[in-house]
Amino acid sequence: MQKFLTLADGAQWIGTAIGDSNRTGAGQLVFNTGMSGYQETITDPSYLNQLIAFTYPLIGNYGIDPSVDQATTIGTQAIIVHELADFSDHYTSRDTLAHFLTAHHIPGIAGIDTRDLTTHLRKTGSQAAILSNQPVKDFASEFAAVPLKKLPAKPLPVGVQNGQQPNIVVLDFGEKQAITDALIARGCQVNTVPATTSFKAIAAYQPDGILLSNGPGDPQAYKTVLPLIRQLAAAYPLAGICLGHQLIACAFGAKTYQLTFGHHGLNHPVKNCTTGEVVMTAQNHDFAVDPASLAKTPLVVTYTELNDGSVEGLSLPQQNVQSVQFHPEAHPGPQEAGIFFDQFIQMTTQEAVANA
Amino acid sequence: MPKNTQINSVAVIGSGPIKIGQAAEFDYAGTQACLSLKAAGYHVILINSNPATIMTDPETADEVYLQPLKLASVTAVLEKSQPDALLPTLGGQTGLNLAKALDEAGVLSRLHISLLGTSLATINQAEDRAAFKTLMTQLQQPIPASTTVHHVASALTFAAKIGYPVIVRPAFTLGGSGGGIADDPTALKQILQRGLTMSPVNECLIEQSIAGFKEIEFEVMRDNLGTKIIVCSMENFDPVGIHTGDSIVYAPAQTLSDTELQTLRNAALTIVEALNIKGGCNVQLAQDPHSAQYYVIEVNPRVSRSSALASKATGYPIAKIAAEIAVGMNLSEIKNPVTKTTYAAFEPALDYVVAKIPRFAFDKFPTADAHLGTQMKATGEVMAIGTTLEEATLKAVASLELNATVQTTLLPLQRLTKSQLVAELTQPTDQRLFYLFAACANHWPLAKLAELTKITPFFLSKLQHIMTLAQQLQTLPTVDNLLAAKRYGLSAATCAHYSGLSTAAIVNATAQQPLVYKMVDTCAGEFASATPYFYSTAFGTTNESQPLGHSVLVLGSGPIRIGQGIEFDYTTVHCVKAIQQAGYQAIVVNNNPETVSTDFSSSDKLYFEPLTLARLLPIIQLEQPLGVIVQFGGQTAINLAKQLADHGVKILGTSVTATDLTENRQAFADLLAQQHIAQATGTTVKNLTEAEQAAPKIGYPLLVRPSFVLGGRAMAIVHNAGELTPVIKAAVAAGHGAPILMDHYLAGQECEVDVLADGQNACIPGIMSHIEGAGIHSGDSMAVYPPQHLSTAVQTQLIKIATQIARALHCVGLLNIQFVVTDQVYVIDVNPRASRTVPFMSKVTQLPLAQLATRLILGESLTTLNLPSGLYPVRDGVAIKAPVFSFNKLAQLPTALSPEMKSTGETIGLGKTFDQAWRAAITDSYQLENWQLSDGIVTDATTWALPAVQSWAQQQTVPITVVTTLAALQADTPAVFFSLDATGLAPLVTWALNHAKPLLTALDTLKTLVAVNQVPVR
Repeated sequence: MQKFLTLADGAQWIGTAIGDSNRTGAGQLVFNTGMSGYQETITDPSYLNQLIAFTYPLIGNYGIDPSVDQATTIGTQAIIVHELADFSDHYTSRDTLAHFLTAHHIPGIAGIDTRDLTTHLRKTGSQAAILSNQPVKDFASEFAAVPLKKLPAKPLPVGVQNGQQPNIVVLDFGEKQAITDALIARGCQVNTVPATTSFKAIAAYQPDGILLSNGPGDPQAYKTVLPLIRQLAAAYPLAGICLGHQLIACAFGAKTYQLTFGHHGLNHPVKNCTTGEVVMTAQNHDFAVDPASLAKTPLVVTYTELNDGSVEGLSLPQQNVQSVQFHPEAHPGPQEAGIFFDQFIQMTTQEAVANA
Repeated sequence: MPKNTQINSVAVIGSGPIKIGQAAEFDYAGTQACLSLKAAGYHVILINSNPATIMTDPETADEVYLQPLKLASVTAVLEKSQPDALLPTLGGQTGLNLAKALDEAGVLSRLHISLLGTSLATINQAEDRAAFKTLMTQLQQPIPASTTVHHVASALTFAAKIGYPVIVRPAFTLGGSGGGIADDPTALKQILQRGLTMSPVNECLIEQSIAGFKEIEFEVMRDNLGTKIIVCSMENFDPVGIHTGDSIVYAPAQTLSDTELQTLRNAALTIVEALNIKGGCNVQLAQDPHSAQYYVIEVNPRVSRSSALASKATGYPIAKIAAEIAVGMNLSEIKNPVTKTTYAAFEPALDYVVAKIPRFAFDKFPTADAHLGTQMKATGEVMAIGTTLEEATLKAVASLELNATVQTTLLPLQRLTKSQLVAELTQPTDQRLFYLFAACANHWPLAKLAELTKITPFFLSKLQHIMTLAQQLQTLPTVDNLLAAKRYGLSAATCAHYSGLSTAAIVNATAQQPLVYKMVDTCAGEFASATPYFYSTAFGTTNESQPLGHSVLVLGSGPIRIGQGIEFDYTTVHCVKAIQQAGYQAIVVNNNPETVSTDFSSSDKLYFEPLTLARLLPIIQLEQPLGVIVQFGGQTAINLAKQLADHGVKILGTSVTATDLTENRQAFADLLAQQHIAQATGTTVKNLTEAEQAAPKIGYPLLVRPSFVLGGRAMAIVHNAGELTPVIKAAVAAGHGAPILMDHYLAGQECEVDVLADGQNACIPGIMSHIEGAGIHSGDSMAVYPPQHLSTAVQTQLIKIATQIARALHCVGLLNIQFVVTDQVYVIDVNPRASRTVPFMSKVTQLPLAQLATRLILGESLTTLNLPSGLYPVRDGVAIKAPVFSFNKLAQLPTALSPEMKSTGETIGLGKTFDQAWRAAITDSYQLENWQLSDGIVTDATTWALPAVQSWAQQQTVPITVVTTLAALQADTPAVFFSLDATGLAPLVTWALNHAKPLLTALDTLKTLVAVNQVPVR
């Protein structure tokens, strides 16, 4: 069955339907250059309402392992691959990617020249796209007709104290499971609360530190949460990842801007501004903090991307606030940046000692 | 950190002659490193004894020493050249061992030479088994349990402790022979007893078996600041148990989940950090396919064959960056040479699949043991790039230049019974891929194939898919099915075979889906790049390769095989240089990942593609080059000339007609007769009946060889009618229908010349005479320049004949002529292309022969190049080219030299006199640098019984021991071993190889050795 990928600028690719063939997908189209971790990528809530084009041509090789899902529901609108593996064999696999997509009602397209698509996006920038069963006649109206997805609302956790230290509250903007996993692996107690939770409700968990999670979309759309962030920063050691990082920047007066085609991959070199050390990081963002806007803020740049020089980390001297644009929790991708969590935990314990 | 300003001059040690396990990849790495050091402003001093390398060209380094790679000779070079530093990690194991020896001998400290890059301490820690084990334990990295044993009892105790199965590896046996996997104590006792007996030191390694695990490799870079990156992950198709050099390898890793990949990646990075690597490092790991368990197999703290493959697979130049790190630079300061906008501190993202398939010499040596194990046997490899695993695999198969039927059908030639097929699948040889296709064709279930081979089912499913695509053409040769087959890389010939349609019909039916060319850019299209490095795919719509215009296309020589070695990569690279100097754009097509010619910076554009008509024509159609040069790519390129010309492609240089004429026995005989040039009586035959009729007319002994083959494949001397049948049968099989040449065999002094010709005149850079007489392949002979015992009259006649032939054929470019001098001068072979001796003669005469030939091909004349007609003035001194064999890697290969070439590489000996040159030549070839007459000769009864040996030996005073029982041999004997036993299982030969003793297998070599040593050294 044919499937049509149409971009806002009129460019079109015709391929074969994969996943849920009855569905139409519409949203921003981004390309991801990771060569592994398709399942973690597809289930990453940051891809809410985006279409993901994989530049690696073989996707699905090792099937589906339920234990690596980054969320229980899938926010992506559609996936685009060169070739979908119709056979996968792995001892952890319980499903094929093809069936997994169908089961989650995710449409997709295979058999197109994904490198051609990638170079097109590189030149024109990421843009809106529709994945449909028929050629698109009226882009705007057909795009508007596709319903937007929402991340499921999660209830407040009961907040049982299990004695683990430190006690971290994760403010959930669309959190990847790997963030909680990384904290728990380091001995933390983790309560993940909705981003709309009040300061008081958060304080009730008696946290030792707060982490603002990753999440989808434009940070400008989260203006209402900025006062809470300032309040949290004043009261607790605070960390942010990806969207959480951008929101910390905004909360202290910085601005963000949209990158031409974003950073979506597992090979981004990030330089530590203090040590000069470079580590490979997983990245997934379309917006970045404007370095010029930092001048009037108390924020200090801690990391930059080696290739385009974009801001990759911030800290607030005198306050226990630090954030990174990249994904130290990995899943997928390199794990060297995981030290961010260790530093955050150290920050919370130092604070605890100081407050004792 | 800026570059190191404490040092001005850097010495680099090359890897020496090409051997199995240490091949052209070190020329690629060394060349890249030397050029980058030079570009950084250092004075580069290079030592290497292999003349057939680009790294030993005067342009690569500031000082080049073509000297043996031995402690004494390298010390002498260092004393003379006084470098500030030494970079030891570019010359393979040879380079590393020499650096260690120089250090231990105190040479480095005495001469105040600092070592650059990864330290010797690190190298020892990685290479010393015990030190490595300790480090892995410290780092909590799992390694397979192992111990060395000298007795059965201790082995049984150890195996009981770690559990069965266990692997037994006898120490220092030929090709790792005598080992095996034991499933229980009974089997262990049996295997171990055999192993201990076979091991010259009565020692075996007992190791926990992880055979069947997935074998994964990482190429890691680490700089002086500790920044670490993985350039490339690679996954072996063949599971642990087969040497990675003999395995089919895919990049990136295909079947690992991100969880597994990151675990292994973390292990690799941890090890590299602990070792304090500064430069490149290869880490090999094993992943259990059924659990999260993994093991570290091995760490190579230097550039390697795998790093060459990773460089070509990703576009990331590992050796170049490693050299820059060695002189103090860091990854975040070095620009990515591919994108030129981003930095070297990043990990390449691939948007294609890479397949590497090793190339073996077993088609030439059917009696050698082709079973694959932990000892490497491949002589070379091919790489292919596609957008599916199927396409990459099939393009690699097409690049192998195997039997045409096998390549078309994808099936082995022999039809096997079920049990034979099971045996082929469980005990792998170089042919296993095709047996797997055969099993797929017979619809063997995937689970069974996986059980028999332990190959990951994902890979097997891809082979099944290929066979399904082929077989569905048998039943339904529809356009859709043809397009699907093409998309996944099936060749038009394969489609034609399975569908029954003509190749032309297939090409027409699938023309709507042309091949498109994609760029290798290290970043999956994320950044704009201008790399001139392309591959084709039929599974894509947009072509990225813009024709260069005003270009000349050069065909490379494909994988390195015995008979077609690095020499032809050398000539290809030189051809490219000359094309560029003449003002044209040079385009290279080649598929060998090890070499300099496939470095995208060597030419104006590189197409990494199979050297087949089907893959070449679309490139030519796109690029519209002024013409194609086929003279420098060995027999591979020459064999394509006629097909290309038939499709209207302009072949530059010597005409295709002339080339064909030299291969056509009768026409060529007529031409020589017209020119009054003597030749051995002979004829061509097509089959055994014709051969039996012709033989008595020509008269025995006969030299039999198929035309259009390389390296004397299936060439043999036939002494009587009884020997004729098997030889002719082998020649018919090897020749693929081409006529077989039968000549009267002439015994005499063999000579050869390379000739530069412009269509009118010929310049002969020099004459080489062979130490070993006619009847031994010229590639296995020692060649001496200038000839020591040829009269001026004979030399004049050789020049006259060479000029006559060049003129008669209107040769433009290079040709090689071989002669036998008896009572008169006979022509025995003419090859209208660059030969194996071109690099040697280029180094000796200091004339860049391939470059000069290219300029002739592009229209210049000898006069405009200031080259004389006739013999070029003879240089002072003597140069000897000596063969290097890899007999210790190829068990059961007959070692007696014969018309069939056996050597894998060559070395050069230079001296003021013949004796000096001889001593240098036999150092890196026969390892005879210290031999003197009193050390004696050890031979076997078979050899001793030969009349020629007898008549020579009777006049000698050198002590000769004729061995009847191996037990009488002393392991520390300084004697040279000599055997002409032509069987593959000569006991004395096996003993000598197991004990790493110098071995001569031709009488003329021994005669010269003894004669030289009878002259007192001055």
